[in-house]
Amino acid sequence: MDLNCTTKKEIGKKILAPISSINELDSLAKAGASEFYCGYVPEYWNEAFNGIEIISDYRYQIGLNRKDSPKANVRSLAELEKIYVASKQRGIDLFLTLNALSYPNQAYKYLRMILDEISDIGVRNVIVSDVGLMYFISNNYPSINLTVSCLAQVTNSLAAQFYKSFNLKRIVFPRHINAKEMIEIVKCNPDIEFEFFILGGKCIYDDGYCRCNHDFGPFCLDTFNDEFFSRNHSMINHNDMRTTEKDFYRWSVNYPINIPIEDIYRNIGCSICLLSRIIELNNLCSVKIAGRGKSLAVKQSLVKIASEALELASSGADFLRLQSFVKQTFEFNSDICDTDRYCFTRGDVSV
Amino acid sequence: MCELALYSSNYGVIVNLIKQKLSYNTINGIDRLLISKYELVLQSCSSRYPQYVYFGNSFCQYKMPGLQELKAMIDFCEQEDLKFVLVTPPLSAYGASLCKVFLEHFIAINAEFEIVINDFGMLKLINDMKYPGKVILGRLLDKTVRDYRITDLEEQNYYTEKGFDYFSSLASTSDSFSGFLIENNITRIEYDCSQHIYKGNGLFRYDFIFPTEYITTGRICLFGLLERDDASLFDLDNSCTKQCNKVIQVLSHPISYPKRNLLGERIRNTTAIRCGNTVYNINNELNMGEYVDRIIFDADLLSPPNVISAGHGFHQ
Repeated sequence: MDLNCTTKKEIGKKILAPISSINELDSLAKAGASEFYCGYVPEYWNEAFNGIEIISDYRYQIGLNRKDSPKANVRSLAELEKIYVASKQRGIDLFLTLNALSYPNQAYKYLRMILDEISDIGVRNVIVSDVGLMYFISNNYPSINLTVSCLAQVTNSLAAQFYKSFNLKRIVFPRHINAKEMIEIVKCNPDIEFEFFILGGKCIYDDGYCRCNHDFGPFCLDTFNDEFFSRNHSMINHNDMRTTEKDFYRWSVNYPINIPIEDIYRNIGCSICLLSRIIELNNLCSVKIAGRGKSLAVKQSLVKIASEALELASSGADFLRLQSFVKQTFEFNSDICDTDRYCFTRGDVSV
Repeated sequence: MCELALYSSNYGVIVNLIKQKLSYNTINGIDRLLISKYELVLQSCSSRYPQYVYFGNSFCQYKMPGLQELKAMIDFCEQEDLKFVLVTPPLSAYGASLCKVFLEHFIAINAEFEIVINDFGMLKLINDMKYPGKVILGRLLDKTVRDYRITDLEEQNYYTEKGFDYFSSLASTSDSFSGFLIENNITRIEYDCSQHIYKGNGLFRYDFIFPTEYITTGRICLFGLLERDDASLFDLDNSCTKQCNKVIQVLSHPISYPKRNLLGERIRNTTAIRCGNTVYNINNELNMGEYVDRIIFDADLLSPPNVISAGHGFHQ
C-alpha cells in the first residue's frame, strides 16, 4: 500500500477537491488542490433509469452517486479521460465517486460497464459506500483501489479493520466524529490511509444513515408542527425544548440569512483547527473539500483557504492561531470558533 | 404465519409487555397508538405469545443496557421460554468496548444468541472473538432509500417504470451484497419499510420491524442537547443524560415547507415521531415482502415503566 502522502509543497497532507469539468482543473490545481474527486454519469445510465424528458439541472431521479445533480457530474467518458490525463500530468490522483448509499441488482450491469470504462482509461481509485459494490470490485477489479466513503460511517477502529477485507486504500471519516475518536482510529491503523472533511456543508443527521429521498427535499430542512409528550408523567419545560430545537435545526441551516446560497460561507462546517493536532499523523493523509455541486469560484475559495491553513499548520501554528485564521476568513459567521456550531470535529482539539 | 419478537432497549418495557399484553400501562397518546399496532401484529403471528426478545438498540449506543440489565433480561427470557437476541447500534470506541463485554459474557456462559449488527465493526468484533452465534444484518446496513413523505402514486409518477423498480428494490438482495453476506455467514436480514413490498432473496430469511420505519438518525440527539452548555452544545462526548426516557416528540409535516417539491411532486401530509436520536414514521399496515418469517414489534418507543426495572443503571 502506498502511504507516501507527501505533496509537492511537502506539507504532508493532500487537499482533495471536487471537480466536475475539465475547465475547472487548472484553477483548482493552482489554488492548491492536490487530489480530485468527481462523479461520472454516462448517458446509458440515464437511458436505463431516468426519464430524460423531466431531467433538469435539478437532479437525476436515480442517482449514480451521492451527488445526483447533472451539474455536479462529468457526463461523458471523453471528458472524464481528459480530466484523468490532465490530472496525471500534474501528479494529481483522481478519485471517482460510486458512492450512492446503495445499489440494487439492476445497477450492476451498468456499474460493470463504468468500471470497465474507467479501468481502460486508467482511473484506479473509486469512492464507494455500498458494501455489495466493494465486494464486487474486490472480486472483479483487483487493480482498482477502494476508498470507503464517509457514508460508510466508520466511527471505530474495528470498522476500519473490517474494510481491510476489500481492496482498501483509504477511509473517509464521517462528518460527525470527534478529534479524539479520529486520532485513535488513525493511530490504531497505520496501514490504512485516512481522509477527513476540512471544509464543507453540514447536516444534523448522519448522512450515511439517512433514508430520506432528497428529490423531495432534505428532511433536515423541513419544519413541522410539533408537540412534546411526557414519557414519565413529569412536566416538560417547553421553553427549554423550543430553544434546544432551534439550535438543533440551525446546525443544518446556520448560515447568516442574508448570504446567498452559492456563497462559501453558507452553512460552513470546518475542522481547520484540528490540523494542529494531526499534522504529524502521516496516514491521515488527505483533507477533503465538500462541494461537488458548487460553482468553480466557491470551490477555488475553499481550496485556497484549506491550502493556507495547511501551510500555517505545517509551520507550527497551534490550534488558537488556526482558529484566529478561521475567524478572519469566515468573518461573516461572527460566532465561528466561539461555539461548536460550525465544527466537524468537536470536543477536545486543544487537548 | 410469522414468529413474533419484541424489541426494546428497556427491561421494564419488555417485561411489562409480556406480562400485561394489551393492557400495558400507557402514559401518552403515542403509547396508545403503539399498543393498537401491537394488536395488529398479534393478529398476523402464529402465536399471540412472543418467541423472541430483541434486546438492545439499533440506533444509539447510550441506550444500550448495562451488563447487569443484560443478564437480568437473559434470565427473564429463560424463565419465560423466550429466545434472546442482542441488538447493537452504530458504535464508537465507547460502544465497541461495551459490546465486547457482552460478547465475553456470552462466550463465558456458552451462549449462542443471535446478534443484530448495525455497524460492520461489530461484525469484525464477533469474528475476531470467534463468537459462534448467528449474525443478523440490521436495518441500518441495507441503506436502500425510501421516503414516508411521498405517496406510492407520486413515486410512480415521478420515476420511470424501471426507475421505480430500481427504487423499490433492496440493495441487500443484489447478487454481490448477497455473496458478501453468505461469505460472512449472515442469512437473516432486518428491514422496516412497509411502503414498498420488497422482493426478497430466497437465500435469506427476513425480520420485518413494525410499526416503526426509521427515517433518519445520527449521533447528535435533540434530547441529548437539553442539558448541555452553549459552548459545547454539539460535543460528541459520552455524557448522555437519557432525556429521551422522559420526553418524545411528534412532528406533523409540514408547516412552512411547500407541499410540492421543485419538480412538482406532492409531499404527503403525515406525522413522524422523534424518540432519542432517531425519527420514525409509524406504519399503518403490515406490508411484508417475501421470505419474512419474523415480525419484530418495536416496543422501544413505549414509555418506560417506572415500576418494573432490572434494578440497575444502564452502564455498569
